Amino acid sequence: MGQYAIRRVLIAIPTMLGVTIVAFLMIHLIPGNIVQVMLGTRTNVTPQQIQQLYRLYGIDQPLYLQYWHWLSQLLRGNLGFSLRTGLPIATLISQSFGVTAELALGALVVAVVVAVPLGMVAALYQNSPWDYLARGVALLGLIIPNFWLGTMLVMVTSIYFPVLSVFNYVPFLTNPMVNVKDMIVPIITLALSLMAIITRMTRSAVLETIQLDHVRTARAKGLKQFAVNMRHVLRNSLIPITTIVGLQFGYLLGGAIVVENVFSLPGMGRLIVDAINQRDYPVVQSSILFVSAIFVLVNLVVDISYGFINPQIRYQ
Amino acid sequence: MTNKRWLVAAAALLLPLSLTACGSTSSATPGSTALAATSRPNIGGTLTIGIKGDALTMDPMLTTDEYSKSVESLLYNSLVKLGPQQQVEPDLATTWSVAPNGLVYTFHLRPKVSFQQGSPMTASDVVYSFHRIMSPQLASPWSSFFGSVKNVQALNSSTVQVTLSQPDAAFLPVVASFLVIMNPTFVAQHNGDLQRVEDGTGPYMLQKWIPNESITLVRNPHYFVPGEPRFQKIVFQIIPSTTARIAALQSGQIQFAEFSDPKHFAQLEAMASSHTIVAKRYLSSDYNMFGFNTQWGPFRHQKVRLAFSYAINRSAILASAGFNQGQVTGILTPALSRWAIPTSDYPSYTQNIAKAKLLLKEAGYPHGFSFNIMSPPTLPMDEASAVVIANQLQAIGVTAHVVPTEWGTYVNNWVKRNFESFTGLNSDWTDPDLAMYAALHTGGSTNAFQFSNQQVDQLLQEGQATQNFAQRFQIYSQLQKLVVEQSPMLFTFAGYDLFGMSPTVKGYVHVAGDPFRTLDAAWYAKSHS
Repeated sequence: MGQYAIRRVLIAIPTMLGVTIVAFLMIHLIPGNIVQVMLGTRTNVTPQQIQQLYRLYGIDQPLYLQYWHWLSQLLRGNLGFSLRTGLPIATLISQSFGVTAELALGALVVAVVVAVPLGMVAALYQNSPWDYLARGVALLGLIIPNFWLGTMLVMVTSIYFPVLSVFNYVPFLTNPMVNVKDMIVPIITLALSLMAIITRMTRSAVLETIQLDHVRTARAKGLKQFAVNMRHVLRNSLIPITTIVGLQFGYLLGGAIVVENVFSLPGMGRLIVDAINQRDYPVVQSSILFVSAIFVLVNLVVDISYGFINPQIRYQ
Repeated sequence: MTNKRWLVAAAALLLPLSLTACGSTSSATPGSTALAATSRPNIGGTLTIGIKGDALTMDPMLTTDEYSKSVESLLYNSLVKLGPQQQVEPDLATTWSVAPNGLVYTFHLRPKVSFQQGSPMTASDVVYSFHRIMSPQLASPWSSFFGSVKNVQALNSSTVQVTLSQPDAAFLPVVASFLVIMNPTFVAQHNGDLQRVEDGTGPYMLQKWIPNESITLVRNPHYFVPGEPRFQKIVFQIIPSTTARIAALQSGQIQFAEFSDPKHFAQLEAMASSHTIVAKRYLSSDYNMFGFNTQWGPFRHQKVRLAFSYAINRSAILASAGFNQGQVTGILTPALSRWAIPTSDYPSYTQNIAKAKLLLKEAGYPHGFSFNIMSPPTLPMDEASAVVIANQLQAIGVTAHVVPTEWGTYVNNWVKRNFESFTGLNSDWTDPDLAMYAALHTGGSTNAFQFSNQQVDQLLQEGQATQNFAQRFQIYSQLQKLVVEQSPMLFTFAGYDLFGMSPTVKGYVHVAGDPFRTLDAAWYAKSHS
């Protein structure tokens, strides 16, 4: 197991190097640069001033030199500074990632706690009213867009439950009570679609598992239904559920831009999208690299968790 | 649920899904400048303002974004400022004089003014501030406006003399709009980096800035205007979603917010009827326009451009794209009321399809042609304008393809003049020279149209060199008509500046182009925490 984890981490190094190249090229090759976006179409500037600004932001150099400058800073552990705000990128990421991690983790916990039992009940009582109810709820979760649900909840809470209405983020460590209160509605908004996906995945995984021989044998030897469901059905259904949960969690850690925007949460999604719009190159590059590293890490944890869920799985 | 609450909830339900008009009736009076000052000014309370995005810098000489400017306008002062009618008023200079040749300006400074950190503001600080904004090392995007400044000197500790190399009638509006007075010692202490710090003379001081969350300003107790500012604190709360800003107004979590998208104004007014907020609209100095690349194909011909002017229906564009929240305009908007001539003076503002077809025929395009309109989705009114214009041009046999273009790409194409036509937002700033010179003079820095006309150039130069208002007015009246006739761009409408605020906010006076600066004189009718 240890060797497997180390090997995976080593494999991640060239992957991350590839990410640096892709992230760098993507933001530099799209039309429009930081100086153009900053000046817009209304400022009265001379070509000399524009050249001076190019020099100031270091974008008058060839791309390979700019890339090498960024990479060499990265290798020294320096993520760099935002060109537009002058703030250290490490500070920006640590502030934003805290918000996103809390939002993603909260949504994931709520979704799993609701969706796994719902999916199991739907599968165990297939084609019963419980099944239809679970499938209906899951379908709703899939078809209701985040932006609409979030907007509705913002309006409804502002009118009827102003105490839940949140427009300024308070970190958990600053005031846990206020933080939890403020995060309830955004977490529910984000959790709904996640819940729908996990419910459907759980239902189909459980449906497959209950038809397997060892489940029938467990029932035949007289085990109670609850024990069969928990020990033999659920546990053997967990591999696909864990996979989908891990993937979704990885995506969410990259930022949930819609929910972050609607609820004014200063998370990773807003950080990256704002930086792209402003062509704040170092922020875009370093943030994407950070999110990629987190994604690789989450996938590694998921892969390792397979061995605990099913001891038959061995890592070579 | 009461009827009014249903109304608000229904508006919220429909708004995110609606791409079409919400209606546009308004009870507020366009151009009104203040809430009724029915109560005596109180000092105290925290005013929380909802803004869409975070500020990027606290250095006004390097600011190009509206969010930074909103905050900075409460931190710094200039020598003069502009009033609600765009008239020049005293700020740090109590009086000033202009030499008969228009080349020498002498400013007499207000006595006993200090920077927020305690050092006195003197004439040498003014000289330093002029030098800083004009310095090539700083590369301020506003330095070109000071290109006519030849020399700045302190005559004594309270008198500054500015000598220009050529007469510049827009000099005082330029000073009011772009110059701020800085403390050179403070700037040196921070090695010239004012991105996150400030030491101005303004009514408020920067207390706390949490990136992407909020900016807190606290009252400057030594502000030079007795009794001002009134709010103890002003907090800029960053709320990107417009609906969330409206909800925050409704729940009382913010007390003041600007809304750039007119389709939300109907929702705001529906809520205003419940008396929990006040919806206000004011004349804006920004206008929406359709620009030609006058070096591209058919648009080289003035008759083709004028044909477009006759073919479009500006009122319909205002109704569809601007939700009727604005006024049809020429190059000078109604906000520049001293200068703008009525749009009824422009013959091509009356839609005339027959005349348009005739002009196209005379230009050699009797069967029309096709072209692209570049439009930025970040400015919803401009994208909608492009669609309406494309639709209206079908009547004269011209096919227009609207190309939605991401903002960075749009600016890149604009800089490289890589477009056939585009829709966009332009600003009059505060003076007709600022509105026209750079945009229309041959080789002007914002002349993306690549427009060149000898008569226009000459009138622009005359307007810049003339001090007398009546003579300037004549020149710019002639220019306004000439520009519409030449049509390097088609001016469609000037939208309103739309605001929602708590009914307890009193004494707010709106100044187009600088709407937050005047909050120093506003107050709460009753005590707020």
